[in-house]
Amino acid sequence: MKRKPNNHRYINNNYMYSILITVLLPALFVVFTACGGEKEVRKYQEEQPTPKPGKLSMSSPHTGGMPGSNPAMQPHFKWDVPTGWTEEPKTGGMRLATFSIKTGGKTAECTMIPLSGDAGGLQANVERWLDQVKSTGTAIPDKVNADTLMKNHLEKFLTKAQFPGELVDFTPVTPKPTDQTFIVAVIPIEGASVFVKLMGEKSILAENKGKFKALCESFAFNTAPGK
Amino acid sequence: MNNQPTQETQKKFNIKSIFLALASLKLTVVCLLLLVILTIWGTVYQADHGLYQAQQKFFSSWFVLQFGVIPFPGTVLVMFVLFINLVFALFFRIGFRLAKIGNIVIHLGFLIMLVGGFYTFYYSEESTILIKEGTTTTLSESRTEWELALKVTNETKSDVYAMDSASFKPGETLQFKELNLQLKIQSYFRNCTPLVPNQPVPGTESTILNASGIQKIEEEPTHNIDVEEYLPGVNFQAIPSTAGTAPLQVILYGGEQQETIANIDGKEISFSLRKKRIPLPLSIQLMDFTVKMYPNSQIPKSYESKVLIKGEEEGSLEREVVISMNKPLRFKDYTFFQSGYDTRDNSEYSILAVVKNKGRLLPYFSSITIFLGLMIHFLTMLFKRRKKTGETAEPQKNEKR
Repeated sequence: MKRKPNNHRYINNNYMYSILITVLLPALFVVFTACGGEKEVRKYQEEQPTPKPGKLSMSSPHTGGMPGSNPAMQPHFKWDVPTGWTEEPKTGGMRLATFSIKTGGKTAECTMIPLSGDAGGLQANVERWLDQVKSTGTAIPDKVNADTLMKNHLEKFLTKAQFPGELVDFTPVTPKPTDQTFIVAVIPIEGASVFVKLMGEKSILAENKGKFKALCESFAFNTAPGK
Repeated sequence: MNNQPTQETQKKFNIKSIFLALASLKLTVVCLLLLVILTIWGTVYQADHGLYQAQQKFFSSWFVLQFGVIPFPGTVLVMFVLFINLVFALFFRIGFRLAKIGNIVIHLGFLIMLVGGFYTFYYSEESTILIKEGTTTTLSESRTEWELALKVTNETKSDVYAMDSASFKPGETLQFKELNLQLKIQSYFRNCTPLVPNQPVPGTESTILNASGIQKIEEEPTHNIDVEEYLPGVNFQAIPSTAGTAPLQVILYGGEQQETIANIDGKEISFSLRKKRIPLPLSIQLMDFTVKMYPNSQIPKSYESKVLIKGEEEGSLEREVVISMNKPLRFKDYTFFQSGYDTRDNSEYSILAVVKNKGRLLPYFSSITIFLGLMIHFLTMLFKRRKKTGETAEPQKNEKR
C-alpha cells in the first residue's frame, strides 16, 4: 500500500486547510455577531391601541404635570375608605391612593400602588419587605424568613370584583408594640398587580388590620363613567 | 551521517503530533461523554431552577462555573472542540481518498449539523404572541429581552424606533438619527426597584421626566429570580439636535404601564422601556380558538387556533390556517407553535410561540448528507466484499481445473 508519511507538502497543505477552516469560520461568526444589530435602531409600525374597558389603568389626571399626559384617562377602580382613615388628595405619581391613620398620637400610612405583571412574584416581594422592616431597626428573629412568613402568616381573600388577593402580616413576627412593621396585600388584576401596604407601629397596625382587609376586599371596578 | 533530526523536522513533528491529537478518536469520545454529562446535569438542574436558567448555564455557555470558581466545559465549548476534532479528523485521520468517500460525506454531514447549531445559537429569535379572538397582530413579543422604544404617533399607526437595552452602558450615547435625537445613558439596571417620593414638596418641581412620578431607580439582585421576571430601569438624558434646547432627564422603569411623553423640537415622542417587540412578515387574525378537555374534567387535552394570515408584501393573498399543538405554521423563516391559552375579560386568548431561525433547514441537509454518506459507505463495502469473494473464488476454480 502506498504510504505518504514523510510527504511534507501533503502535511503542509493539510495544516493550511484545517487551520483555515477551524480558525476562519469561527472568526467570521464572531465578527458577524459582534457587528450584529445590538446598537442598531429598529424601525417598525404599531397599531394604535384601543382602550379596553375594565383594564387596569395607571394614568390619572395628575401625572406629575408631565407635558402631553392625557387628562381624559380616569382611574377605573373604587374602594371603600375605612372609618377613621383619611384618603389623601392625589398629587401624582404611581399611587392609586394614599391613606393616613391617626390614633392616640400615633400615625400609620397605607398606600395603593399598581405595578406591571406580578412585579417579581410574591416570594421576592416578601423577601424585600422583610429587609425593609429590618432596615427600620426592628429586630425580627433570624429564623423568620420569606418561606416561614408565607407559610404561617399568609391569608387569601376575594375582593368584591372577585379578584383573588393575598395578605402577608408581619405584625406577629415583630417583637415590640412600638416597632415599625408592615401588613401588605397583593391583588392581581388584568396583567398587573396592585400592592396595598400598611406601614407603622405594630400596635396601630394590629388595631387596624381588620379595616385594612376590608379596604382590600372592597376593591372593585369603577362602573360610573367619568368618575 | 547526521542521525539527529533537524530543528525544522522536529518542529514539524511537534506540530503534526498536536494536530494528530486534535484529530484523535479519543478526543471525540471525550467530547461525547461530556455532552452526556452536561445533558443529565442540565436536566436535573432544570427541575429546580427552570428551563431558561438551565439553558443559559449549561447549554448556551462556554464554561459552567461550579462554586463560582471551578470551570467545567459548557456545551458551546464542547461542540466547538468537536467541530475542530471533526475537521482535523477529515484531514489527518481519514484523508481525502476515493475509497473513503462515504466516511468523508458522513463527517461533512456532522460538520453541517454543528455549523447549523452555532448559527441557530447566535441568530435564532424566540418570542410570543398573545392574541384575543377577533383581533389582528403584526408583532410578537420577546419573553426575556427588553427594548427602549421611542414612538411618534400618526393618525392610525405609530412609528416606533427601538433599541435593544441589554447592551446599554453608562456613558454611552445612542443615536436616533431620524428623530434628530441623542440619548446619553446615565445608568441601566437589568432588574431594579423604582423609588417614588411620598409627597412632593409644594412649589418644587422635579427635573426628572417620568409619567409615573419615579424619581430614582435602585438595582435589585438577579440571582434566584427567573429572567422573565426581571424589571429593568434606565436613566438617560435626551439631547435634541436643535442648538439651545435644554436636554431632558428621563427615567423609565419596566414595570410601568404608561409611556413618558415629551415634546421635542415640536414633535411629541413617547418613551417606554418594554419587552422587545418583533415585527412579523405577516398579519395574523385569530378567527376562532377551541379547547378540547378530557372527558368529565377541566384538564385541557388539546387546543387549536384558526387564523387568517396575510403576507406583508402587496398583493399577498389571505389564507386560513389551523395552528394546533402538533401542527405549527411555517411562514418564511418563522415557525408559529400553539403554546397555550388564557382567559380574561370573558374572552379567550391564544398564546403562540414564535421562532425565527434562518438556519432551520441545516439539520435537514445534515441528515440527508449523513444518510447519503452511510449509503455510499455501505455500498462501497458491499462492492469491495463481492470483489474479494469473486477474487478468492477464481483461484479456487483455476485450481480445480
